[in-house]
Amino acid sequence: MGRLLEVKNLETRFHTQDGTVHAVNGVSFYVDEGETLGVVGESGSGKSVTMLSVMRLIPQPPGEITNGEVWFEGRDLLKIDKEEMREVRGNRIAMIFQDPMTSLNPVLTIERQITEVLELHLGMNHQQARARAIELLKMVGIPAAEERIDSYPHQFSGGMRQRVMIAMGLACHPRLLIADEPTTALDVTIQAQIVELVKRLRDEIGMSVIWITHDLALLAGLADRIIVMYAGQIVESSPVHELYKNPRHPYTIGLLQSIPRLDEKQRERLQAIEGLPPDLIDYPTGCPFAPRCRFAIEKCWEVDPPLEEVSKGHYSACWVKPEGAEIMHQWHASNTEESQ
Amino acid sequence: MTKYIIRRLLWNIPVLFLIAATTFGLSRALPGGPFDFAGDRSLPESVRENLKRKYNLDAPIYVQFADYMMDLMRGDLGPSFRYRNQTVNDILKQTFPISFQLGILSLALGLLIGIPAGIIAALNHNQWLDYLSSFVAILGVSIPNIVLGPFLIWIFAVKLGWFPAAQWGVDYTELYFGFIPPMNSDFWSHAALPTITLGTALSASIARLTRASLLQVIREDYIRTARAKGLPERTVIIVHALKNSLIPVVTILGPLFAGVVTGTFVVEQIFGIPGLGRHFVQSVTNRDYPVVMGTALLYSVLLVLANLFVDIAYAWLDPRIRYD
Ligand SMILES: Nc1ncnc2c1ncn2[C@@H]1O[C@H](COP(=O)(O)OP(=O)(O)OP(=O)(O)O)[C@@H](O)[C@H]1O
Ligand code: SF4
Ligand SMILES: [Mg+2]
Repeated sequence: MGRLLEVKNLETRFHTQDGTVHAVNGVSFYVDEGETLGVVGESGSGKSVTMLSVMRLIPQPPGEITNGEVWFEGRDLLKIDKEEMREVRGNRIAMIFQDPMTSLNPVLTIERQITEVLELHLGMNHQQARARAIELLKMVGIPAAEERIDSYPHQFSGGMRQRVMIAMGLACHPRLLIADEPTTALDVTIQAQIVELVKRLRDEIGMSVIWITHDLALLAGLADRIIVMYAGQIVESSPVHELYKNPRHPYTIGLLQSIPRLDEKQRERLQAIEGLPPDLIDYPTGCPFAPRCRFAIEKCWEVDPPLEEVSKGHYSACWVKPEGAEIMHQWHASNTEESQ
Repeated sequence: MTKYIIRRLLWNIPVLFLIAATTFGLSRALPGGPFDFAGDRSLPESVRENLKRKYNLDAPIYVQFADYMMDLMRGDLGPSFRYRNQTVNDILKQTFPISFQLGILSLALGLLIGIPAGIIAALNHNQWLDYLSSFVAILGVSIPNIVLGPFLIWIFAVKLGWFPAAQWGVDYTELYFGFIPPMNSDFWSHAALPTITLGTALSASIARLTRASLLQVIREDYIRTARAKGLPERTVIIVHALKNSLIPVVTILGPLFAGVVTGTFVVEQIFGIPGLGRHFVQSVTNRDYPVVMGTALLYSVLLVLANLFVDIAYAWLDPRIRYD
């Protein structure tokens, strides 16, 4: 498997009236050909800003990419000119967004919104593009695609709109699809359908996927590898099964403990991580998780831990690196005891 | 849609009736009457009584109103009390087309400059082009016509002699269908300065509105989607943002249109244009009741129609809006 995308030391800031927001702080990760990378982290941890930086879609001002490299197909995307970058967007890398209600243009037909990508990147004429757009809509499971292609977004349900977004994203057979919480706004059954759809299309097209979510459980059957973000940093990175089995960062352990399990009778026992993430304007010097961490030692407050390999392909940015396997095991045991 | 338009038009009949009744009542409630003065001299009591009787002004007010409405049904707006040998129909026929021409030209100029200027400003948000065009726009809004008009006359008519200083180039008798002027140099040269005067203020407010609205729309999620597709910035703005951002501009266009085509008193005074504008003002001071009624009704009808067009334009701009 070749390397498709490699991000090194990415740093993105927002210059606001209240001060500089340290949204992304030295983030490095990669995606291989055909691989699916899951990105998790709570709200404000910098997931979207990281991916928007990769696409160079950060609103500037107030945003600014202050450092880093984004290697994709042999080029640093942060260095190429605007025209070259436009050739990449929607063509080599596609991105779909959280809210399908607001992410489609309300005043343009579905047809227009899909065909314009085909005409732009593949040089199709309108007729070819329309025929292809109908195929794409069928591919993502829109019934009566021939008629519905002339509708406007408001005539579609949320789930159908997200399918349209996916059809739009996949129109040019991108090498990489970045999905920014594409199912968060949808209800659970629709969510599962969309995940299945992306999995199927990923395998058909053979593309790589970056899937951003709050929901670690959703990634179990979808991702190959997961990176966990906290306060604009990657705090843990691991193959998916390893991460569930033996998380090595206190924040990841907390996230896993807050997933409701089907076999748990007492859902309310589920434990969310207490406290709030740090202020990104007044960024802390030590480990950003320290104020919320039950494993914290003195050093944590002084020096920010680097990302270190704990086993093959598994990295954790923590001075303590507790054995998550044991903690999870004990926790489940005590939970089951109490509920009996 | 047709049904909707018909329903809207029918709905406006009672509205217009109410406007007519209110204007009728209010104008007569003003102290003084139409025959208090002839020129500078006040008329003797007996002459006044005679005139009042002649125009039926001594009848009870509801009788007068009923008579007026009966005449109105036949399209007769009555005689002017001030311009004794003219009817209100005559006055409107002679002056309204001229105001209309000036208004339409100014509005066209306002849109032609205002919308692109607003777009350019928004595209260069917080850069020098934005500051420049915002500065010019504020200047355009805040310099009153009464200053700009004479200033333009002084430069382009007096100093440079490019344009005539006053008057309107065509007479109402030369108009095709009573409305359309011959497009000759006489027309254009006379229209130039007043159109620029009036159009400047309009383009400035249209530019400001377009800019603000576009800046709002540019932050929408679907604009990010359009950029994520790799569309060139030009397409993003013109195809994806412009239509959405024109909605507020279209909204003000209704009242703006009705206001501007019925004549702008100050500009018509400065340039000595024999338009309708002055009748709005003078008829009230003169207590020339039929002219007050005629101008008010004309304005109301235009406003009603313009707003109907605005609503139709909404449906065209935004497919989520449907009337049925
Ligand atoms: N345009 C902006 N101006 C100022 N700050 C911004 C802007 N966009 C994002 N940020 C800040 O950057 C930080 C990271 O935001 P980001 O949207 O990447 O979080 P996220 O992990 O995607 O969260 P969510 O799960 O809620 O989508 C946040 O603190 C946010 O307030
Ligand atoms: S470095 Fe310290 S504070 Fe940070 S996660 Fe590890 S133990 Fe907790
Ligand atoms: Mg986000």
